[in-house]
Amino acid sequence: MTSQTLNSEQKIIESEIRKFCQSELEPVVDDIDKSGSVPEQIIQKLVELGFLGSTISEEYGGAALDSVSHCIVLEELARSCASLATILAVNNNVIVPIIDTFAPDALKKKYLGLLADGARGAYVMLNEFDEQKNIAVKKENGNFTIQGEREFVVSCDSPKFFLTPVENKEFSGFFIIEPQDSISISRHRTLGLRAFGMGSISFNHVQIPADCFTTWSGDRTWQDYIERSANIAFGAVTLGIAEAALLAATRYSKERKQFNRPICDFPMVQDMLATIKIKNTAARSLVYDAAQQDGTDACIAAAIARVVSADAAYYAGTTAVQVHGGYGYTKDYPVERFLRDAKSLQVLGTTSHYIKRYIAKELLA
Amino acid sequence: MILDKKYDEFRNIVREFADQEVAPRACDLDLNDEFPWDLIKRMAELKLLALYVPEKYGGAGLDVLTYAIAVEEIGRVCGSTGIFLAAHSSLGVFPVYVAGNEEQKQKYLVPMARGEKIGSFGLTEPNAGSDAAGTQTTAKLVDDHYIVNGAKRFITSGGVADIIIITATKDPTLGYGGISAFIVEKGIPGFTPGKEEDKLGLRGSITSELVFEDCRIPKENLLGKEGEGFRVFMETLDGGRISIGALALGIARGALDASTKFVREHAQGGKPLKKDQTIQSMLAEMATEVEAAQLLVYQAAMLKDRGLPYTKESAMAKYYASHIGMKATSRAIEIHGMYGMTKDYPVERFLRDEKLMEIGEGTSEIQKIVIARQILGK
Repeated sequence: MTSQTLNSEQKIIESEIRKFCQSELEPVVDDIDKSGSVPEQIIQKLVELGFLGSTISEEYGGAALDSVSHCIVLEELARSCASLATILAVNNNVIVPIIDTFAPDALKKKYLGLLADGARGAYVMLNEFDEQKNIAVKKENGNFTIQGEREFVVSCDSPKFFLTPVENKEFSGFFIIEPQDSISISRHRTLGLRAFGMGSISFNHVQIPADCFTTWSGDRTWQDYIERSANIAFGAVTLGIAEAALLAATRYSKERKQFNRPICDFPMVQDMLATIKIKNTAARSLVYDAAQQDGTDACIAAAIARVVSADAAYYAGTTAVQVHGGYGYTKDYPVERFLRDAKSLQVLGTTSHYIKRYIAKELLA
Repeated sequence: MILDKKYDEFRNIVREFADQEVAPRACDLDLNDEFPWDLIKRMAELKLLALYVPEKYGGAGLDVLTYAIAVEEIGRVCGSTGIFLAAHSSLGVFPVYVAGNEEQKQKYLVPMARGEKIGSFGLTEPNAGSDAAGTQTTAKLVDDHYIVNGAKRFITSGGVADIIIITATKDPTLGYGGISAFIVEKGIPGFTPGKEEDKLGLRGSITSELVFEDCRIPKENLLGKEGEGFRVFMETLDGGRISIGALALGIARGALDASTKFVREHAQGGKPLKKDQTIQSMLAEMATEVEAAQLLVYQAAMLKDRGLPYTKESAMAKYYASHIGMKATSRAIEIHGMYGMTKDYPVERFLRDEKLMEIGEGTSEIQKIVIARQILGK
């Protein structure tokens, strides 16, 4: 989306989030990456601006932002801090749609209300590989007991609840579990998205009331319902990284002199910048186009947008490091973080080859 | 590639050392920014630090191909230890071996080759990177000392080195003709290692700034003749590229090996990953490209061993091995899924380490310029 095509409300959102990023986020972004956590006041500020539960409908106290506006928020945030943008993406585009689509009214009211007030929900991911440790669910006297571990819980720093999908022969649905002593988390050390909050989670005979479990419903799989929203959101986040990398590389190429001239005078450097720009422009069209689509094609559009945008971000990150040379390899410049964050987003939840498989499946259906 | 049996035997020795002693340390070196003093001592005992230097100068009396194999095998498990070996052997040892007089060889080459002293190479400056001939560090002869002023940056092992080969010019306006090479010993007046870089990868290696303030280098520490510095470092970098190519190759091989192991051990939705055609295709590409990179690296090494020109081939080896290395390490992360971005598996470290191979000792862009110049003529 270019500024020219935004409506007036979207332009206001863009300028608000930009102002927030420049004045509040940029000064602390290196510390966020180093310490692996986002300061609470940053989160609170986003809550005040209404961006944390921004996709929640007004009925539950949310800002009910349209999809394009929400992408603008994610993209702008990710230009400064992809970890924070990813926290928002998980909240707004994974957790909210699951609760909103499947949960009964009582749960919706409670948990969407909490999220609209600025709470964060952690998402306990399903296993990617068969060998991963898993949780066992037992139902006794109407209540559930969960025992075991899952390898990946995301957005796991001080959440108000854990949204935990279960897929086995007996149970197919999701739990909303509030933090308690019998749940423990061990943080993973990661390549990028260091403040996003990725850990493994252990449930030690956690007792859960029956009404905290919701069975999947609907004519499509639950993943189909959330993947469109998640793919667009991650597309917007990666687009933000890609644009930040392009900006950094362009600026540096004008400042850095070698052979008595700025390195942007060299065709090889120009080619790198132009290639980033081409990929970013394609990603931008696809992400914002997908954000405006409805219907069955919208899912494919979102999948395509995510693949192209994630690839653009990784290319931009690694190329921006290259343009910066030795300096780019150090933490004196942000480009090495762009590379790490972009690569992490290429594997978060799914990878391009699985998304391509989905696209092919739809093509051939 | 089919090599003489002696190379296979040598590879087995280094691989055993790498797997048993280096690999268990690699993750910690990276996480804790720890310099591998213990492993350097072991490499010295195994005579790995100056493989192609004759025994009379403390080396192993073998050849460049053997050296490339050693860097590859160490790099397969640990980029930080690999870059130390490459920098010490190619950048510390080599210039003294190729340009030093007999006295300098006895005094500096021998202890470096034996591993009693750590070697390093100070060429890059804050404002002279790709444009290495744009050096601004000056050296003025006053009586029997060169007075050196300036700063170097991104110097591998610079902060821990006992012996550093530096370049400096008698007048920055003279271009490459004004540059000479000098041997600097740790502790001489006016020389201090500056800040250490906080890096994306190779976090177990030390990369330092070097500061020279009226540093007094004895006249006899001039390496080669005055004004020959450019030739010394061009020759040094030609050789260095073989070792960076070998390291890039080793890291790529590490990513391939880790991915192969992971694929063998994991299944998805009841289907073993090794039966997944997409995964097979990725591994097949990685394996093919790693083999191709190996051919280029070994070819460059063999040319150098035979005394034939190898400028183009070493540039190709470094360019290609680092290029496919980035692809292989990046793919390896994807094959590992979300595990790939955690420090429970080595592949994210491989990616971070590999990125330097596209930058250090001449960026990929500079390699392409070198290759094009060789093809097209000046």
